[in-house]
Amino acid sequence: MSGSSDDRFREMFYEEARELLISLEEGLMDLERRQGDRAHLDRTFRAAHSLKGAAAMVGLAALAEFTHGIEAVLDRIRAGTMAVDSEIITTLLESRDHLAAMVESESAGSPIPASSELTHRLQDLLRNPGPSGPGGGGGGTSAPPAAPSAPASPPPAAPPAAPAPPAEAKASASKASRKPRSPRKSKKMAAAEGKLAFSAPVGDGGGIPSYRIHFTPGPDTFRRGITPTGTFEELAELGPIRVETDPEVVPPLDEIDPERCYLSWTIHLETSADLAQIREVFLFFTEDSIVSMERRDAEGRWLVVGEEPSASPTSRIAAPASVPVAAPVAPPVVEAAAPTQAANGAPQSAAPAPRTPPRTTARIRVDAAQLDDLVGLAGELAVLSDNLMGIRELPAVTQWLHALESLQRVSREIRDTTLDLRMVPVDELFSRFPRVVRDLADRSGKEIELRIVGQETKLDRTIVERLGDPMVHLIRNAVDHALEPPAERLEKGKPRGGRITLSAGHEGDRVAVRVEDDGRGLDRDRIVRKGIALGMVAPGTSPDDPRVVSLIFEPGFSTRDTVSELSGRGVGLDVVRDAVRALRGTVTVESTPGKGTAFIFRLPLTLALIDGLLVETAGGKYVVPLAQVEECVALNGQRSALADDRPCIAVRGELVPMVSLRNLFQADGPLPPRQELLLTRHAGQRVGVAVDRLLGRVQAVIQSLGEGLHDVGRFSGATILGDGSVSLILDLSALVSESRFAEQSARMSPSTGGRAEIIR
Amino acid sequence: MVDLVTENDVESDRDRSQSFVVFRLGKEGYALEVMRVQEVLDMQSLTEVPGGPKYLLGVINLRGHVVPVYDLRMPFGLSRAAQPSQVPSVLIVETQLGESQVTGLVVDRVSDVLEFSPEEVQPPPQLGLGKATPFVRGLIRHQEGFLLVLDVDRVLSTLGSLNGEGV
Repeated sequence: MSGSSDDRFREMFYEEARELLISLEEGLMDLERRQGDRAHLDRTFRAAHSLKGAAAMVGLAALAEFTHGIEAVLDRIRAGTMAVDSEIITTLLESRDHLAAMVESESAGSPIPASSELTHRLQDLLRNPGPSGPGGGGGGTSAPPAAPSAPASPPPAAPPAAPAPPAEAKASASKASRKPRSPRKSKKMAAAEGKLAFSAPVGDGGGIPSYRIHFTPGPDTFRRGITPTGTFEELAELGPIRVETDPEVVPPLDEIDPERCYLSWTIHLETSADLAQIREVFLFFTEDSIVSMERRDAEGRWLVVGEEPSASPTSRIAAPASVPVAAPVAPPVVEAAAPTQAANGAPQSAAPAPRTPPRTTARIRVDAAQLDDLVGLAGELAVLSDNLMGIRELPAVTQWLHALESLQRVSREIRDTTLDLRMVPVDELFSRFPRVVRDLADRSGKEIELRIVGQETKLDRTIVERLGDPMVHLIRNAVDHALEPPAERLEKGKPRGGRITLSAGHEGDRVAVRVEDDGRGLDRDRIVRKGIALGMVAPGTSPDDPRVVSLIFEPGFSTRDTVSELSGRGVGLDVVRDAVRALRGTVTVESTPGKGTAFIFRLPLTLALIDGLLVETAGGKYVVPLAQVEECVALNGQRSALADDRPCIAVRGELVPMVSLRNLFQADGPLPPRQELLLTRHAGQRVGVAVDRLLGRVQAVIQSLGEGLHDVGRFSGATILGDGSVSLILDLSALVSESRFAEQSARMSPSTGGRAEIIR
Repeated sequence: MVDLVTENDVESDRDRSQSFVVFRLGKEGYALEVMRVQEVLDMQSLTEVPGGPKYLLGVINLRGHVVPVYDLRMPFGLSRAAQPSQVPSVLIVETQLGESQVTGLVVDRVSDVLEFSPEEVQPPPQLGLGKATPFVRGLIRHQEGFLLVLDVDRVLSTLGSLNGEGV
């Protein structure tokens, strides 16, 4: 392979590898939690195994070899000769991480070598297997299943006259006939026979066991780049084979999907190779493929041969129930596992786990940027058709009224549907954290239980992507600062292990994501002291002041004086707040001393669209996100409630600090007789933002202001109004911070004193 | 909106000569490779960005995309007040950041698209161009005078770094 086709295969490999790496990681995490769970173990093993195979197929030998180390360890665990412990899992997880790094570096074009340190550690594990496995124990799993006892008398050399199939396809038979009745017996095979009681009693009559294999590859087999005919060739190397299929199931040419595998085969095989070797051939046919095997016993009956726990890498391949099967040709294979045989395997759960039902709805991969474009266009379409509704009033339009209304309805539906496409469950994010917490717990020596709630809640893809770092930050903080060491917890009458809860759920039209711990809680005294020392709050502020807690989100604020390995590298919660704000969200904190702390992100469902209020100030039109406005009040030339230079307004008896958009934009010109005050909430307090006029509600498609303009924080983006003009989207929260900052720097100069925190 | 030629439409000698968009800025003529110019627009209504960088004139709607528009006069040390009476032109140029990223640059007037061979482009003088010096990567003799070849990447990166200084 060379050139572009090679590149294409590589690309496919990277995608597949990333998915497999995720399953591998999840599998490894499960392994620790659910020791002895056979199905998980098998899944994990298969992820590693498939990755190895896939890497080898695209010629990435280093990757394949390194993966082999992981696979080998997992294989030992499966065989029950190695017990799972935390150390092994850590090594495996680190190896997986390195593997992921290798894959990514390979895809970036600058491959990194396999880590020799990790390779050694994996080899060490193989050299010094721990005590026998949990639950099953070494003996249990390596013992052969007692299932179909080997026939005492030699089976007939030739397969019995199989009942005639509806149609016989001899296509593959020619391949089989190349090596007629000359079972090649390598030393390896012979050795395998000796080891496994399962293998046929070759010695006692010279008869070669005869197998009948029903093989139905999954419909997606071709798409994964696997060809079933290769399987026949491999089988033919084990012994003479005869292959039958029913071509009738293939649809007529004009209905055929060339990438779909319709056929199933019945393969008659005579071989002295053991079951494991036969299964090995079907290695790359996983979940969606069905392989069942029968072997002829002495009386010529077909007996189903079941799972062989220690040797079968493809445990998901189900065997039908253990009854003689009479159906001649590729029967619709029974999906249920054979319970009788399961009992003989690994005691815990030798039965193949309940299969995940095959996906019924087809999925396609879509380029994310294209999707974003589509969302933008759909939003614009909705805005345009909304605008078009303005002509309804014209008399000439009456006959088009119906069409107009339909247009509006359809374009809204298009918009909503495309918006839905961008939504992904937060599970995509949350599923990362068990690993994060485990690593953190490992390093900090604390015991931590992670609970995850509401992972099915859907959020905009971009939000889910960008929420990762802030959440890791908070989780680190929780582990490092909030959760007490086990001894201290016991002393306080808490359970030994700390608990971190991640939850997501809807709150009105927003989604709330909480990161909660049951640790110490915030130390308000300490925060106040630090705040006073840094000049952020006035001396004498009470620790119970509601504003105190929000101090922790200020830049440069950290109560920890020591820097730990886990967190506290001088990156504060202000980074978290900024990240969430950039997503048009808010972050708040609730804390009870001794009981714990909860950080709550409130986020919009989508980033592409906002419900906004169109306002005008000094001739410019701006959009204010409706979510930021609590209330609008008219300012009828109202004077400041305090002195003129203290912009505060009394709203129903409450003193509300005011920010004037005109002042902030340094706009001159005469003030309109009547202004409007948008009331918003900033750091728990009400603040008013004065604008000239309210123009109405808009639903705005948000566009970025463009590269290089991100620093203009007061605008969170721009949108195109119905008349084609561009309107900037105001971020009230950033506006208020900005004017607060301006006021604070003014306060630092000694001349002004007095009320400083009014704008908070 | 006037779309000028955006592609090299001369087949012959294509390897050797290059098309340049020729425009005026202040009293001088400038040239910019046509390949870097997505299109040329007449100045239209734009939305100001209060508190934005001072070279930023505002943002415009370019077929549904919000595009920032910068004043090229200011980095070149020309005063904004000395604008000619004609409608200025906006060059829409692709930034290096990606094909979908475009930026508008306001110049006094685009007059022509001309072809020059590489030999006609001379190295720029080391000094004497004042504030424009860093943005000129060559000279082309044309008619009675010279055209200054604009180094648009330098312009864009300078604008980018000035943006960083913010309000």
